[in-house]
Amino acid sequence: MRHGLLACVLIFHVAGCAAVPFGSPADASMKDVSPHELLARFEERLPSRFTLLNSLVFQFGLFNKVSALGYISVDREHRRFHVVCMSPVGVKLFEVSGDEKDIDRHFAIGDFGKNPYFFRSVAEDIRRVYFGLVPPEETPVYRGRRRMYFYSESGSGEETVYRFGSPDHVLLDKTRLRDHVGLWRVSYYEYRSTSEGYLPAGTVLENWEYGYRITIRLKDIRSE
Amino acid sequence: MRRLRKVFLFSLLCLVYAGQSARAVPESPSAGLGPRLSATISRLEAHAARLKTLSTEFVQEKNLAAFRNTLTLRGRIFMERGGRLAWHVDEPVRYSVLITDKVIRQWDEETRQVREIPLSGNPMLRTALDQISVWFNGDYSSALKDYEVELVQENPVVIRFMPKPSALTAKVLKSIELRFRSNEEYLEQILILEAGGDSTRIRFENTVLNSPLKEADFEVDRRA
Repeated sequence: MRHGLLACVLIFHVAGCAAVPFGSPADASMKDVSPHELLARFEERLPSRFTLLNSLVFQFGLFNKVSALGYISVDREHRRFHVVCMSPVGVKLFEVSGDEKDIDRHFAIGDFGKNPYFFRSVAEDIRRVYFGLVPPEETPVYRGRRRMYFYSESGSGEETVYRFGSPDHVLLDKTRLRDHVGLWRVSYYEYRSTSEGYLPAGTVLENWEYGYRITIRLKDIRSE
Repeated sequence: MRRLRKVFLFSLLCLVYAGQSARAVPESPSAGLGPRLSATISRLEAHAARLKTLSTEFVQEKNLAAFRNTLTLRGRIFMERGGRLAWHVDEPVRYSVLITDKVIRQWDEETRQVREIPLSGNPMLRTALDQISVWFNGDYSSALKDYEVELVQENPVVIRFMPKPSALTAKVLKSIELRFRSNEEYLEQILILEAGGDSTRIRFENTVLNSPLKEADFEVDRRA
């Protein structure tokens, strides 16, 4: 069962590797690494609060791409976020804040605000990318030679698979599956040790359910 | 997706045109203005009438009400009166857009794609672009239909445009303040105050008027 799930995750991973504009993580042995210590160390290095300027590329299908700027403040401890998305010329496209459950709509240009699902899906994607970076305690683990996988069941037939690796023992990606079918995956690349903590310079969210990808490139870390 | 692109283009137009929504010039543009303001606008328009080409660097500072930090964009603008306008953003992401009387062409470093949108069949874009030329050509009288105007300062000249309650922009825009160089030949900065508390200051630096421009100044894909 676990191996079947692992195979699904690997297939999704290989299928989605094409055209990712970030470097692949280096391999490192996981032989003597304790899962508990790995998670504790990773959690310790993550910043609890941070503000970032990112560039974003929304991709629908193979060739439809639109770029934007994202200014985001995240409070992981209280699970709150506030994001402003702007066009490359600095005009605000939308602004939304929220927490684990609720959202506050602040602004949307043009038709963005007319879609009732728009803000909700933005908030969901932000939560996927910035929250829940460490699996809950006692999550079943499978140790590969160079990767460590944690399987966290949500109880509604869905499961999140966390994949850790690299010499720094960081979260490489997390994949959400329903009945072994991938719904979405967030991949983290090129972690940097910053004054705020450990942050990935590149993040890719792939939503297979709705057929889009968001590529996030860290441009600057701001002190708020 | 096409709608998303249009929203992005619209956002550029919002910035460039800064909210002027009417082309119709009142029969007597300066009617109702005080004699000093009326004389000042006439003088500025006379200067602008001599403008044939423009080459300038810009520093755009965006202050978002929800964040303490300032987002700074830097780039260059090239304009031929009644012809082409090229807007190149160099930081924090490289982005270029070329606007001619027939087409809009844009490129950005994240997607590395050149996108072209013909203006035929896009009457709304066509109208908005016509208004851009009004703005860069310094035909400030045309804004008087939708804006109250006040002379903030005479030396150097600062004039402020505030949308009338009936104007479409009144819900999102508080004011647009234009500061001119001491010789009044061109703008020194534009300050846009939005109703939501955000503000945008665009400073024009190393501005050169009426010098021959290179063909490369109007290419977007040479940066690809």
